[in-house]
Amino acid sequence: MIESPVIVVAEDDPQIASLIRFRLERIGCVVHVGDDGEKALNLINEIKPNLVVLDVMMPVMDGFEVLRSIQSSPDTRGIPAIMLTAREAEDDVLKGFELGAVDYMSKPFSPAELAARVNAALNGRHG
Amino acid sequence: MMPPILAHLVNVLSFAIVLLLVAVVGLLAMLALMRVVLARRERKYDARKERVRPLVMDLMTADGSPEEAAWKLDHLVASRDKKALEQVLLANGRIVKGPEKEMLTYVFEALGFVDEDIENVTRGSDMKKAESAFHLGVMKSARSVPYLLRELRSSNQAVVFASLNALSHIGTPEAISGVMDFMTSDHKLRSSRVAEVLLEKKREFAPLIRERLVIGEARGELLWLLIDVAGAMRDTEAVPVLIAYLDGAGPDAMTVSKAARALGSIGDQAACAPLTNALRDGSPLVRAAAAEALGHLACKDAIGALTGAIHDVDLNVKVNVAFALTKLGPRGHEALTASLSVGEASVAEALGTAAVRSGVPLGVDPR
Repeated sequence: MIESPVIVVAEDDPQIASLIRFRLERIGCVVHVGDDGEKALNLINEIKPNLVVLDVMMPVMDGFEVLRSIQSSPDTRGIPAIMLTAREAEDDVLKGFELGAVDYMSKPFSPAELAARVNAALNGRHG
Repeated sequence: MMPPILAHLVNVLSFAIVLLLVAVVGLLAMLALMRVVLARRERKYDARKERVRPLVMDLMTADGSPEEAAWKLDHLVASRDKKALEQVLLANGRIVKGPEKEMLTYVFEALGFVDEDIENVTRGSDMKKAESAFHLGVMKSARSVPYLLRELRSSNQAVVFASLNALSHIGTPEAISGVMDFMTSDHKLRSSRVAEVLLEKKREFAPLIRERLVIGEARGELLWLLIDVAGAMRDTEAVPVLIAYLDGAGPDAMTVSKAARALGSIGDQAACAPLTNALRDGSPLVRAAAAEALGHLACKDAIGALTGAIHDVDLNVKVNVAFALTKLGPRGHEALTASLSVGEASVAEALGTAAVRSGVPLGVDPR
């Protein structure tokens, strides 16, 4: 794994965002949080993180739009994305993968499991 | 010169107006003061929550044991902050599952929060009961199940809903079975709300729903609700019992039509043949539902039967048949076009309605 991977988390619920931050910092990640899709995308374009965790339902821009934007830019295209959402609909899961997400978790979620999936994605053990 | 009586009246009126103004100003001042006091209390409470939040986050993201987490929270959080601690733990309890949820369940029990909420559910006001029932659901307290089951008999709907919700979250066999028994014996609740609860915990409820779907187990609105929920859950294991409703001679038309729609939602091709047979049912309700389901399932072998059914005497059946044919690829589309050339006005009307509903413009290959 990269020594101190940089992660951008796009999540509008502060409780969930801080839980993810605490958990990922514990495994040595540097975490930046954007509380809406647009802010997260700005962070992604600015920082070029090693991985992004995207909530699907967010104000301003939803997670799918952010993912589409990441994939369409040559600067950010290779960044792996994990989708996190309350919606368990099969269509959403498929849409996330079609847009290039490497993994998917539904809320409520286990922070420990998310950390394990982040690790796997950073090591390229997905798909 | 004003007569003395009039002057006296003016004086009294002026005094009354001044008194009223003083009272209004006093009341406004009191309200403003109350607002300040409440806002201050709220700020204090928020500050307490912020004080305990880092410790909770630390424990929830550490790989320590639940016993260790409970010990630390018990010893490191001041007793005046315990209520704020419960709120922070509950907020986290709503968003996590897996080992973190198990840890929180242990902590709620070890710190006495479960006891407090059981006490409220048993002896509190209705508002307190509903709030605490909700807490017990988040806490996943198996110990609270008998108390919550008792509250299902409450005359207060908020208490009943909260208890129902909590039991579905707790999800032990005793809790789930209790909810199902309650549903069988009491239909006063709005069925959509019950369906929401059932759908929320579909894994736990699905086997019990299947058990009650067996012909003769439930009837009327409860049976219709269970069939709808099985369809919404897309429970493939319910397919055989739902098909039995299509084949049997006993069930009423509403029940059979609901079973047909549920089969269409579940999406198992095993339902194609019985649904095709149902196109010949005596009830237009059943025929319409069967046609719609055949469309959702895209049953290719049903094209012949659907083509015949486009001339059904019932317009709703025609519309659903036309809708089904739009979902069946080029052969279905050809059948639609051929039906249209017969020149039957109601067929054309049905085709138009079906085309709007399916979003497939006529004349375009629907694949």
